[in-house]
Amino acid sequence: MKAWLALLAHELRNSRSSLLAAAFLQLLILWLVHRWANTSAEATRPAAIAIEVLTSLWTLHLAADSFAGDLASGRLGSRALLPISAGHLWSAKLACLALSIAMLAGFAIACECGVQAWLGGTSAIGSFLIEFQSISAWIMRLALIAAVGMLSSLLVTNALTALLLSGLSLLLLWGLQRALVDAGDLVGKRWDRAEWTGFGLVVAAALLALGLWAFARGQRRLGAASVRGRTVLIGVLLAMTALGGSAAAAAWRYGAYGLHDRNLQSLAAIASPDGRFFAFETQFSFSHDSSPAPLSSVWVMDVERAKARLIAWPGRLLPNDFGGFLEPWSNERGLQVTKYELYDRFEVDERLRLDVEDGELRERSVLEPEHATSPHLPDWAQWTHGKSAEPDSFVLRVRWKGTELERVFRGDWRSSSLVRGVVLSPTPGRALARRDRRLVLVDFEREQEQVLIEALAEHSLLPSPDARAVLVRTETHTHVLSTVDGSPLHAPWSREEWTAEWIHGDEVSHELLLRPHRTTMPSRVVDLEQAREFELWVSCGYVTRLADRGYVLCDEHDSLIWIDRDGEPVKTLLDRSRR
Amino acid sequence: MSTNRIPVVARGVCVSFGKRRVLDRLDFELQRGSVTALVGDNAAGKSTLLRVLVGALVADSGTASVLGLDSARDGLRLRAKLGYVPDRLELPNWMRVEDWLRFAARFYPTWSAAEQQRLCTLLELETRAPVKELSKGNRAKLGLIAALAHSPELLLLDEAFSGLDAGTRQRFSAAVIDHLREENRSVLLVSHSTADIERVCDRVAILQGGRIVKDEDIETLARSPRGGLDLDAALRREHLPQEVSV
Repeated sequence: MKAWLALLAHELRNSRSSLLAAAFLQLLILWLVHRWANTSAEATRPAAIAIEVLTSLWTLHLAADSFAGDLASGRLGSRALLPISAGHLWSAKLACLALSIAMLAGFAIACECGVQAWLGGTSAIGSFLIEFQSISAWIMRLALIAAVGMLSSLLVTNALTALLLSGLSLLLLWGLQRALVDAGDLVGKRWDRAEWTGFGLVVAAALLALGLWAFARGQRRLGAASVRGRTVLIGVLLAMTALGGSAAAAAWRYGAYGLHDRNLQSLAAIASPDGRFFAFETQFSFSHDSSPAPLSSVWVMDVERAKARLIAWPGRLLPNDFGGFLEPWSNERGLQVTKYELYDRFEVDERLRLDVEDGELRERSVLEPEHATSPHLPDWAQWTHGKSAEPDSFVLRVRWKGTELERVFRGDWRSSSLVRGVVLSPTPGRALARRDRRLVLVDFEREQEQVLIEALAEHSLLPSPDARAVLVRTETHTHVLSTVDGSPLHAPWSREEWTAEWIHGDEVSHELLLRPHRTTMPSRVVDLEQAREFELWVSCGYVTRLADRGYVLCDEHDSLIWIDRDGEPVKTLLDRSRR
Repeated sequence: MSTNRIPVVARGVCVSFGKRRVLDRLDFELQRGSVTALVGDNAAGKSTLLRVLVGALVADSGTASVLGLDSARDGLRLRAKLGYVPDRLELPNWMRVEDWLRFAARFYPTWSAAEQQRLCTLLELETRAPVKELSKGNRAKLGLIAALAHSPELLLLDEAFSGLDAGTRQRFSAAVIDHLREENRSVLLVSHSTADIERVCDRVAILQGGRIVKDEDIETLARSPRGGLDLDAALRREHLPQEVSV
């Protein structure tokens, strides 16, 4: 132990000049931060950021210089001729690096605490320290930088080259982290901060162990640099092969069993005009909130053959411009699907159009998405929407084309926007709008507005896909009204018992799915046009109309079941009840 | 202190550097109590052999037993028992002579401060001198002191005398090498100087083509056909270039 401590002291003396320079630079930068900030309180955040960034830079510099210079000059070789094991040489370097970083970070934090206490009192110290949000994540980042730097330092005999190599390697690690996030999506694994911290520390430990192995192997062999390089290369290749193999296995598992995965959730579906096919999005669902949202993918189910086909992964069905509805699957425009890059979920890889031709599904690329004319934006109206002079207030002006008639709607962004706050009727000159907490029928030809409902709830308006009706939520009930004259189309439902939503897939009829709040009760389908309703035997996630073939319903297990127009089961398309 | 075992036994040692084989199935034994010179062409593998013996380099194949220890597996214990002066000693610039000696002392259980002081006086090395200001000769002296202050059972010198002035060489050979010989301890030294070899050695091992081709008593090797001793001529006969004698 005494010998090892002598080795550590020797290493610390070797880095003495670097440490002094780093400490001086830290003081200088903290002084500049306080010069820039007007008060000590204003300096807390920038000072914490400066300390975190500077500590990372010192770590990178010291780690990259840990072996490179000593190996090139032969000083390490001279030391190795003493009765010192490779493990002791390595661990003393590592301990020296860890101590140096701790000393530099501790010195900077202590100096800043002193300044905060001097200028802002002892309470200011707490405000400053709270800016270091996650000490464990910080330590993990430093450990990774140190491990990568030391490993790079073993491979080259120049500190600057080691620094550049470390930078590139850290970029590679960042790419691997992104790949792991996406691979995690595939197998239903979301990483929280604590898991990332733990994983980062394990990676750092693995890199350090790899470095020790490479160092010990190269230490007593001719052509030590190439031996170390080969050893690191083999280690990295093994790790990459394991990671690549896992990702490939995850991809294979997704393609082979994706629809049967227990964490996979089926989202809203949309049917082809003839009802033979329906497309649906799937997404992994997790027990805890996660950001960013997991990757979703698009599948198409052949109802007759009960066969699903993966269309886009990751991918989304194209939503329309307003209201968040999916674009309808029409004969004119087909079904439009956006396929994203696997490792960049915001980058469009390809746009696809699906058509049904002679009973078969055809798929082709298109350059731009082609939106249908939305029924929620009727031809008779023209509008402008923007901020008003009052703070946090917006104004929507709707003019009846060809007339001088105009109405102005003011309010927050939601209540003053089309579809969400103002529903324009297909009948010219009519609209239903939210005025404060009341729903009013606006007739552009009359000055007076007719109050239809009082005590609206938040997010209260949900127009039907054809815009001829609207679901209106009050604190206690859900109403369904005609947008033509504001008349009720059905008796209201208690919100304590039911959640009502529109059924998609047939844009000419008004059909609603009523989902009970008590899971023991079955869901119901209400056809407002035909004035009929029927009970389903399960509680549903969603129901989509399959033209004249009936409906597809997604039950509480996310199984997909084809039912006829009377609600009787025809075929189970995807059984996930035993997952 | 010394036992009767042969201090160095190398069997079938092979070391290759890339495609070039430096040591090729080398066999070698160092006699107990002898001071043996290892001679050979430049890049013949003399330093490589010494590095294999001290466990600083692992041979591709073959075994080397030094002071009864396997040099490949017990290098750490071995280096604590022997003294080794490399051909090049690189030290941090901030150090003084005493810093390096104090640092090295921590790793040798048998290190003697008195012996260190005696050697410093004998070799006339100023301990307060900064390492960065040491001449080649003084750097060699520092290497010798660090290798000897723990009273090693075996001393391996890799061109340790180059850079030393004639007076120091003589004092060193008289006070140190002869002392080691008297204590029946062994010395293996690499040198190109026939004068040094003649002054301190009693045996010569010639390394050629990666093998020890001759390992003889110096008198046997250097005996001239005319009856006298002429090591220069003997080494020329073995096609070995010689350094100008000092």
